Amino acid sequence: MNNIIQLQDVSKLYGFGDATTVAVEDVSLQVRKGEFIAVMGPSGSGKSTLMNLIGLLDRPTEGTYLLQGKKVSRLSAWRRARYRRDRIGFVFQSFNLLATMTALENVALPLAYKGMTQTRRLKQAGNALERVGLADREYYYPKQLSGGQMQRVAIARALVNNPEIIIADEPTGNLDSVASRVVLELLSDLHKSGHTILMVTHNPELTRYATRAVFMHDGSIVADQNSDIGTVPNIAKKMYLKPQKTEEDDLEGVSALMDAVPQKNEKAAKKTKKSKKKSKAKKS
Amino acid sequence: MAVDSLRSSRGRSFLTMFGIIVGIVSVVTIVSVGEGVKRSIAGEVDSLGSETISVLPGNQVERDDTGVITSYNPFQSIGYSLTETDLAEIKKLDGISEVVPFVRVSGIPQLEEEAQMPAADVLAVSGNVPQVLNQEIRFGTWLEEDSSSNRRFAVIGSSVAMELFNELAPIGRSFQVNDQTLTVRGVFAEFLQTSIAPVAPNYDNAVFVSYEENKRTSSNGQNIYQIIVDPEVTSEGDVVAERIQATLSSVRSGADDFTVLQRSDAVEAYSGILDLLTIAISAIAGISLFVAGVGIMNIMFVSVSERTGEIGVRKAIGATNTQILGQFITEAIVLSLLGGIFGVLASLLANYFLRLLTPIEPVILPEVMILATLTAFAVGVLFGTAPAIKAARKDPIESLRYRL
Repeated sequence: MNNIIQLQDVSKLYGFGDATTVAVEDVSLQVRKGEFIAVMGPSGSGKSTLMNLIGLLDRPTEGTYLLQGKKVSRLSAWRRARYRRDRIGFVFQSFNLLATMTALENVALPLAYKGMTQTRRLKQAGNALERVGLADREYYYPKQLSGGQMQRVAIARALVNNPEIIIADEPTGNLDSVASRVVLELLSDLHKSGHTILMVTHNPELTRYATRAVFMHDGSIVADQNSDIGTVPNIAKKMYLKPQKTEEDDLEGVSALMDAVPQKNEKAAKKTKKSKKKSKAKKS
Repeated sequence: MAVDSLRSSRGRSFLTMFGIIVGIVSVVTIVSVGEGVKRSIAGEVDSLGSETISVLPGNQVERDDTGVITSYNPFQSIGYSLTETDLAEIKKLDGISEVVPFVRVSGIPQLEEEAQMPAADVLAVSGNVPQVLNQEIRFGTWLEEDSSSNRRFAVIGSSVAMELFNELAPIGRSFQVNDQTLTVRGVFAEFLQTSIAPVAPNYDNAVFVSYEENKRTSSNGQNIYQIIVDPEVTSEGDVVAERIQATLSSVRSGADDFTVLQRSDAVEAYSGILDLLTIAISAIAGISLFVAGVGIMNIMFVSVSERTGEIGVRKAIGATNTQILGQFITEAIVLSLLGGIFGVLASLLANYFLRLLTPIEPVILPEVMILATLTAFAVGVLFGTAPAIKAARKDPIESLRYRL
């Protein structure tokens, strides 16, 4: 089997008794080595929880999780920390760089927990920074860098240990489109060099870089589609082109309600209706 | 790594350390002042010269099993006195080079021109007083054992010379005590003010007259209030003191109405009291160390909450709980250890200024410095553990939600 990640009926529940919420429900997912998976879905659909489970930040309430064929669903906190250190790199939406450290020190931090000497640490971190094109920003502090640069430093930190899996939770959520493209190109490069990447995103356009799109809703995977790099998978296209609910829909609903209410001033009511229609016409 | 985060919040780190610094400075300074006073007492004793033994009337002291004086009450001498027999018996003992009896003579020295000095003590003595008091005659000579001479001589203290005669060396001038004319034969150099024998008269205010002459002329019996014995060999002071004790006991048929004191008795008694005092004050100062420790704990708790996001990131990239625990404990230890080291340095400074501005000469022993630093270290471990455990137990997912 070539599956690097294998989830079997994995559930994650929060709370007790009546207050129990199901964040992830009976999810089964196989990820092959070298895949670039875009995970999509509305907020609250369990994307992040799934990433935390795969990234071994959390333990599933039920189900089994095999990482590289080894069962890791019931590991102790200490062993999970070891796995995170050696096999998994994280990229976050808010970069999560330590403000008191330079870019180089931030990148070197995971190596410190490995017990590497400082010289080796900084050398390896320098290489990682070079790989994301920020060799000249080694001694900059995070606040001296742009958002895109910070995210590239974060990517360098994620790959400094050369992990098999990189988990990126909305890596472009705080970035403009240009910076987003740079970050995605970087992730794409990593993908080409053999890393398995799981990326949460709200932007269907970014699924072009992925080899597979997974769509989640209410804690379950509702769609799962492979696609070629450079094309937007159908499922994403569908979401992209037909947003299920927008602000306009809401306004429509409100005006429908307004109509239903018996009004004393009919004229005023008609006026609102008209202006609504006008604005709708403008949109289309 | 722990040091980096301390460096990044220098102001707060220093304020936190300040508590430790104050605690360490107060404890170290108090202990060093105590040690300094102890040494200055020992120094005073040394300056008193040879190991002389004082024999006093009445039982003025209580001793514990090891012979260290536990209480001293000079008023126990009231109603008792030493006798001629005592003096004679002591003089018979071996290993003694000098025996000097002291008798207080009532009377006020005065000049013919009505100038008088009521504060002066008139003391009748025999033997080599300059030797037993370890003091030299600055002008003139000591009384000669020459009772055949009808002229009566006196040796006076420096204050008497200035107050009565208004000159430094009134050698050969005469004054009166109880209608008897005395001629000044010598003037003592100024005596060091000692704190050791609280009831010893101020010898600068004393007029020393001949014991034999006083015995001949005075109507009432000789009232010896002190006999100072100088042993031949200084190191045999203990043996001689024991001999005197035994002899007087047998002379007085077992009555315990006299006191034999050595210089070392005084030092031991004083340093015992001083040790107790130092420990008591140090304990009070130690409370400030405890408070400082609580301060460190408080700041570490604040720091842990503030850096929740950082803890989350560190855990996400592979830090184990133990490593997070280690980081925060190290921070607390570095804070308090640095505070301890700064505290020791500050107490050296305090020591310097105390020496400069006050007569106290504090002594900081190296072991006190080491102990202070170790205490600071222990405070860090003790009060850093709880916040560090809190940091280590944080849930990484929860922590990652906090802004960095």
